[in-house]
Amino acid sequence: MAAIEIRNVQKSYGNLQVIDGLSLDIEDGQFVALVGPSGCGKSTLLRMISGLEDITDGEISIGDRLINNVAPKDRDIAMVFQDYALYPHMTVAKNMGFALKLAGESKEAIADRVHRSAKILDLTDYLDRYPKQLSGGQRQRVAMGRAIVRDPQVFLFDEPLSNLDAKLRVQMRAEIKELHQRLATTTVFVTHDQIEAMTLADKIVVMNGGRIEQLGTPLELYDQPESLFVAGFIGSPPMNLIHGSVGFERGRAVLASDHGPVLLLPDAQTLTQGQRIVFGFRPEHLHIVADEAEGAFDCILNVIEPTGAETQVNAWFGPKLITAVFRERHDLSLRQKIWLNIDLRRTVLFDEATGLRVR
Amino acid sequence: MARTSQSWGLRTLKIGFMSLVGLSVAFPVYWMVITSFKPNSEIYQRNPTFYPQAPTLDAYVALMTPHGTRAPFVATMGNSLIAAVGSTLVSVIIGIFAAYALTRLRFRGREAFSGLIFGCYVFPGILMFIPIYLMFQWLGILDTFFGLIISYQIFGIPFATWMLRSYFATIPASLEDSARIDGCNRLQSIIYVTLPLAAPGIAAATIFTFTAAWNEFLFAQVLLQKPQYQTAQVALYSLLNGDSVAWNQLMGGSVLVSLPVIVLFFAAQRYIGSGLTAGAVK
Repeated sequence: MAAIEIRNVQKSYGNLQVIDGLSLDIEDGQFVALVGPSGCGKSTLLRMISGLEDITDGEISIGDRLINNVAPKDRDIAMVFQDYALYPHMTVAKNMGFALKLAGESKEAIADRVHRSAKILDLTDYLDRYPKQLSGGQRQRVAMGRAIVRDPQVFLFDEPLSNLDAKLRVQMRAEIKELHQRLATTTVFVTHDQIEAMTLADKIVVMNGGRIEQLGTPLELYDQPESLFVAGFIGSPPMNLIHGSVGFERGRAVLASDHGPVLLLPDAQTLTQGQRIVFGFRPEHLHIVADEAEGAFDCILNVIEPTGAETQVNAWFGPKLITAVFRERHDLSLRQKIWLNIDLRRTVLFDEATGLRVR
Repeated sequence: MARTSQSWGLRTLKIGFMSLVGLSVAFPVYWMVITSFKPNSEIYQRNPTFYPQAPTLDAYVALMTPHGTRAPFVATMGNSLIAAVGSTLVSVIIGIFAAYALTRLRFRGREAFSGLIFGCYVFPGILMFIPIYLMFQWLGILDTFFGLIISYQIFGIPFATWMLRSYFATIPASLEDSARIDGCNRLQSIIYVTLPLAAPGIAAATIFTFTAAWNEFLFAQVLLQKPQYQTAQVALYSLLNGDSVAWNQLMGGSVLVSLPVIVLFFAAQRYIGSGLTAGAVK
């Protein structure tokens, strides 16, 4: 196990800058998820840590060792690829033992370590099979087995669950989490799925346009997004974002929303009259209240989706749809007018021009 | 009822058409084989016979006996084999590395280079044999197998590269990435991962370059003048020089020349099929 230190790393292909002076510290044993939309540079960053991509500028260290010019095979890392990248002409046992064989381990030692890893991942019965004879979930497990058999300092995962169906993805997610708790190996996990990042990681790095947008624990990112981008990216269903201008009524800050009613704003020190802002609130921080209660606003129900544990609704807020999630049961019907109240302590404000948080 | 008879009619038409095609392919082969077992007198009869009246191995015996400047036919086949095997090895080995570079490495002018290779491949060899003759004369490699093998690379390397390139493109690059993380350097990742997976493509490229070199006539005729270097194709042609053509010997020689290619095709049929499909979909 080892910490990873990334200092001012840059990557460009010709004139195209993909990673722009990125720095990141990953602690020993930590599970870090890199998330962001396609093309944000998360996979490139992972491939630079692995050594499969050269670094244009900057430094990457694993443990205390600078690895800029160290070959992938000498970095003491293991990587799980999106398409599993199992060797189709080798059996499961050979796939898992390939790295050990290249490292010159004895046959007995390889067999022993392969069996131990296979046991952890419930693959013992499949050791003599070829990848094409396995299901998607089993292949995924072999790919992980190939990584853990080496007992590396760092695990790198490149969107390893994106080829699985929804049910299997949830199951494998739990297995990866359990594996990390058991082995406590430093892990970097790339995904575009924020739920995966939220459920697995100790620390999430949200990337956008080749730089870090925000970095923090899953709940920090969820509760305290520092930018509109993070607010929109983290959370499913996503945060409601209402554009408008700041006004003051009876000493309290309000939002004259562009298309809907006036909303009460949380207390913020820096708001000025007429300032253009974006008001963000999570769907679960909306509550149905009796009509025209203090600070409540009305909207018209458009879609009602009960899931049992909770009910998600889409409602017209002027010409804009907002989402609310209720854990309590309400007697709701389509096109019904409901009154909602926002839990102001849990809301966030962003400057419309910069997209950054306003406090 | 109508539908059944219609599909029956269509079926008959299909079978009829395929039989016609099959026959037009098979008949010349049949004719070649039976002619090789006929005495020349029977061949020159006014009424052709559809099977040998008095089967004889005379033609084959005559072929194996040196005649004038012509070496025994089996020796010329040996020469062809040296040229074809040598040329195939060089083409396929260089083709493998060239195709790998073109599919896996990023370098300036990669696309232009690919186009150039295709250009070389489609360029008619006949236009080049005079300059090549002069060049080889200058280099002093006329009348050597080395020279002939080099000349076969003109079509061999572009062909093998082009064919393998489309095959390599079907092998996911992540497999090599994975191998490099598992402990391979680039060459090891090629040897342990890429080559075993490209085996069908390599087999197909091998067979096609071998066949092309084995059947080649023009360069073998021009570049190898000494009788002891004569290849089987040139020896076959020399059988046509004379007042009366010994058709049974010519056909016997043709049978012998076809054999290695037929054996090779049947042995590797499975590979050729998958090799071609893999190339076709990309």
